[in-house]
Amino acid sequence: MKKTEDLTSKKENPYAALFTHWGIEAKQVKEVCPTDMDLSLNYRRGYVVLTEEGLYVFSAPQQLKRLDMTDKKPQPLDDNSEYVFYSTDSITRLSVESQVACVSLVAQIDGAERILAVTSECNAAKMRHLARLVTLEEEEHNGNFHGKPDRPMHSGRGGFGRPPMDAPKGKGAGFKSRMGQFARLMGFFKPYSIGVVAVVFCFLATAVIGLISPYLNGKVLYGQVLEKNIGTSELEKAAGALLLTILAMLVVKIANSFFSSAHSLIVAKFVPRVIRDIKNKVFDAMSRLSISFYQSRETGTLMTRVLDDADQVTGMFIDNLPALMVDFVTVIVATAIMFALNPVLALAAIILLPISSILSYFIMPRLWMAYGRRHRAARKLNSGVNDNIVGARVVRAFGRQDDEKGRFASSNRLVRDAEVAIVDTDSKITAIFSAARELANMVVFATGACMIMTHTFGMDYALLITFTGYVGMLSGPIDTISMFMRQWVNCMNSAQRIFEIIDARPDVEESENPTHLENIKGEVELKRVCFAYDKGNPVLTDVSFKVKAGQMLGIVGRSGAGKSTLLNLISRLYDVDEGQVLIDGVDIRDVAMKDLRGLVAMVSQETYIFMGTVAENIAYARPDATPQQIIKAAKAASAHDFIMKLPDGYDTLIGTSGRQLSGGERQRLSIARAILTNPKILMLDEATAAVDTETEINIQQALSELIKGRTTISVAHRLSTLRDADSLVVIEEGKVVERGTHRQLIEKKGEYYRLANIQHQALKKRGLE
Amino acid sequence: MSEIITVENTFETKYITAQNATFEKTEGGFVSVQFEGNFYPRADFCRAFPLSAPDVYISVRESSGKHREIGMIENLLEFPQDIADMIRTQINLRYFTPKITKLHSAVDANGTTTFDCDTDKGRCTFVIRGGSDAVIRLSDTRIIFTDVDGNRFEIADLTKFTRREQKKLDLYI
Repeated sequence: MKKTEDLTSKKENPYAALFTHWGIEAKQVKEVCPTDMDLSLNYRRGYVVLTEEGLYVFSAPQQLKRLDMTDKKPQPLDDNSEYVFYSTDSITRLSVESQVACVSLVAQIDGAERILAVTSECNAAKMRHLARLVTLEEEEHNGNFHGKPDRPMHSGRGGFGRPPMDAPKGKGAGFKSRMGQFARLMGFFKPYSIGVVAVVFCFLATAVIGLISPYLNGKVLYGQVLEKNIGTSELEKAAGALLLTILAMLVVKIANSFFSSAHSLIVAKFVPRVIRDIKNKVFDAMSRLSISFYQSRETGTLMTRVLDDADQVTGMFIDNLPALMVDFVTVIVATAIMFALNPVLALAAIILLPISSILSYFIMPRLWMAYGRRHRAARKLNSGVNDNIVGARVVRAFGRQDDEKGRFASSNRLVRDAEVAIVDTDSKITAIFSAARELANMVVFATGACMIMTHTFGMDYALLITFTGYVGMLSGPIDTISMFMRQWVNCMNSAQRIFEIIDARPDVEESENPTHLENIKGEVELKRVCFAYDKGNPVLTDVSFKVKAGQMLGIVGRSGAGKSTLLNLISRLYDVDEGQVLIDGVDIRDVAMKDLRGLVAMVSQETYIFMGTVAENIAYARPDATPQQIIKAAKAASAHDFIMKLPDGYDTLIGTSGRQLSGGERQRLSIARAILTNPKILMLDEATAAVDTETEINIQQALSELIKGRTTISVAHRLSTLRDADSLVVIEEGKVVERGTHRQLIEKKGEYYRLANIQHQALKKRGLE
Repeated sequence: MSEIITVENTFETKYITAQNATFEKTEGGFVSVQFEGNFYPRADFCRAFPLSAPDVYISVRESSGKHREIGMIENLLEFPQDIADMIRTQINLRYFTPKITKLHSAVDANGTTTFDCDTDKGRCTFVIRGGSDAVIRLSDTRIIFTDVDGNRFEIADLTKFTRREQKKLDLYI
């Protein structure tokens, strides 16, 4: 046993004095670790005490009544506690082994391993410290294997508010196309037409009832009841009339509440369904689309589309549009009533309204611009924060925190400025509208008062009060109508994005009468294939080769030569521009998509882990796989061992919100995924690029088992990976420049020989080092 | 260009049964295994599916070196009771997770929650941090808590709790 380390800390160990009862003096004690479990894993107080002589393992006579993990104070032991003593000489090694959620103290005593004590994670650090005192260089036994679970990290992706809507463009732009969209949007509501009608009816009912109110308050209450009955002797009659009027007002109020509640209820019933329908439709369309669609668009934008645009559109239809209808009706009916009651006063009331509308018409674009500016500023701010969270490691590694702070501050300032501009313009508009409203009120009052005093135009108090009620009703709707335009533009932008996805035609479409392949041998042939991602920038020109069933073809070439593109074409993620890709002599464009997908599997350099358990990820393409098959596939991919090292094994949650895996681990999972699908044609696109040499050789060996009886097309940087290939194709700038076996190509002393030499030299150099 | 690295065949699963292997309890509280002519003085037992299928597919591994897999137990329930129990004591340590049987209180403070509950291992108070990391919902009724230190606690069946307890728990799951 190594010489024990002296306690460096001069501080009194708070636990040291607890053991005098058993003859252990405080100054003898080198370290104490409390334990809270016994060896049969029940909660029980205990201590592991390290002295110069050896190790005392104490255990309380009975189980703990209550284990308080928040209480870290030293607790004295019962006097009748017992201990086991292990002398320093008998212990050859002392180590702390991490379990999934507790630790155990294991000693090598007289040549055999013995478990001495167990404790919860609360004391794990202390226990490790104690063990370290015994063996200076702590070999944390099983260190790697029983590795502690890393706390799942929050990944920074997503969740940063939606990217802002495009700033509204000029009014009326593309108005016609918008009407077309509008009509299509209506289509989404078709299955719920009863609900829509009910909503509109409720809105209108509310509006009409609202219109009755001023009439009751003014004309009836003042004109009919109060004026006529004031000073008359028929008190009973007067009281009756008053009661009746109040009752009528009450009924109106109740009816009003009834309809608005009914409206909310109906909306709550069917709006979520419409949103769900739209989202489903967009998601269906997205699944149908070919891979090129995803590569030409940002993920963030796509997510906004599926999730937010549906809300935006539905909100427009359910809230804004009916409200607008009600407002229109209100304005027209109220104006009509006012004219019917007193045309002159009506004119006075509405004369100022156009003025405010015209003014707001000029200021409104400024408001829209301010909104647009805020959206852009916010977007910049969001992406800055996003960068810093996703790239936190890079930021710290290069010590750029201060610069990042500065960058954040400057975009934050932009947001503030834009916000101020919005508030500024907004308050101007509000001021104009309220000024117009107040002015209109005053004009009405003044004109009305004059009329009453001069007894002209049949004006009286009752009429005046009714009138002011209607004037008040006008201003609200006019505000909303002018605001409506902006919402309309937003909604139509959303609608446009939704339809863009729904209407997008997949580049790769299934043929109308697909051939169903049976008894496939797995022969792959490319005939004079040309392909370009963007027209005029060809990636592959005139590529032909043939892989016999069950053979392995290696594709070699510099990065960017078009190797991965070839695989994309064979798995039909893209269609060839010219030429043909044939499987067993059948053009893959004629093959049923489902057959093709079951036939071809690809392990690529890009690995994607879905949210779920390890087992679910491996069984992604075959959810019905048995645990045995999953383990077998994982073993074949050299993934089993690392999976078993995870505390939760195949049940470990991985993906966005789960445990983070390393590049090599992800790679091996995706290989396991491919292995499990048992494809006839296997494509490996730098399948082992992200793993270390030893793992690569492991995987290579696994693959060499796997490729038996399968057609394999393998793209690799490291030529050693392709040693077993039956034939090789060297691609340069989208053309096949050499083909043959490894031996033939080496003898040929061409491009392959050159590449092989470079790699050989590089390896040699490293070997010399 | 050929590098000489020998890698043993790791992709074949060897299945260990009570018939083809001998398990024995060691003095020190571990289990030794005799399998395919090799003697392993101490073996570790890891579950492949600790949460979803605890008794099937248990990996038996060397306890030192590279922790190579000795073999796999396909189903522990097919083992004789005494051997299964022996293995289970090893597994129970590795996957020590007290089951909560009764919730006394759950108190929030500063983004953490202190639970006081009865478990099958005794009464216990523990603290979890707010946020989703600390709570894993395995199903509608089965929940795993991980406290600030890394201790785990399990609620095996939420429906077995009283309505009042469920209401309290509902805030955290």
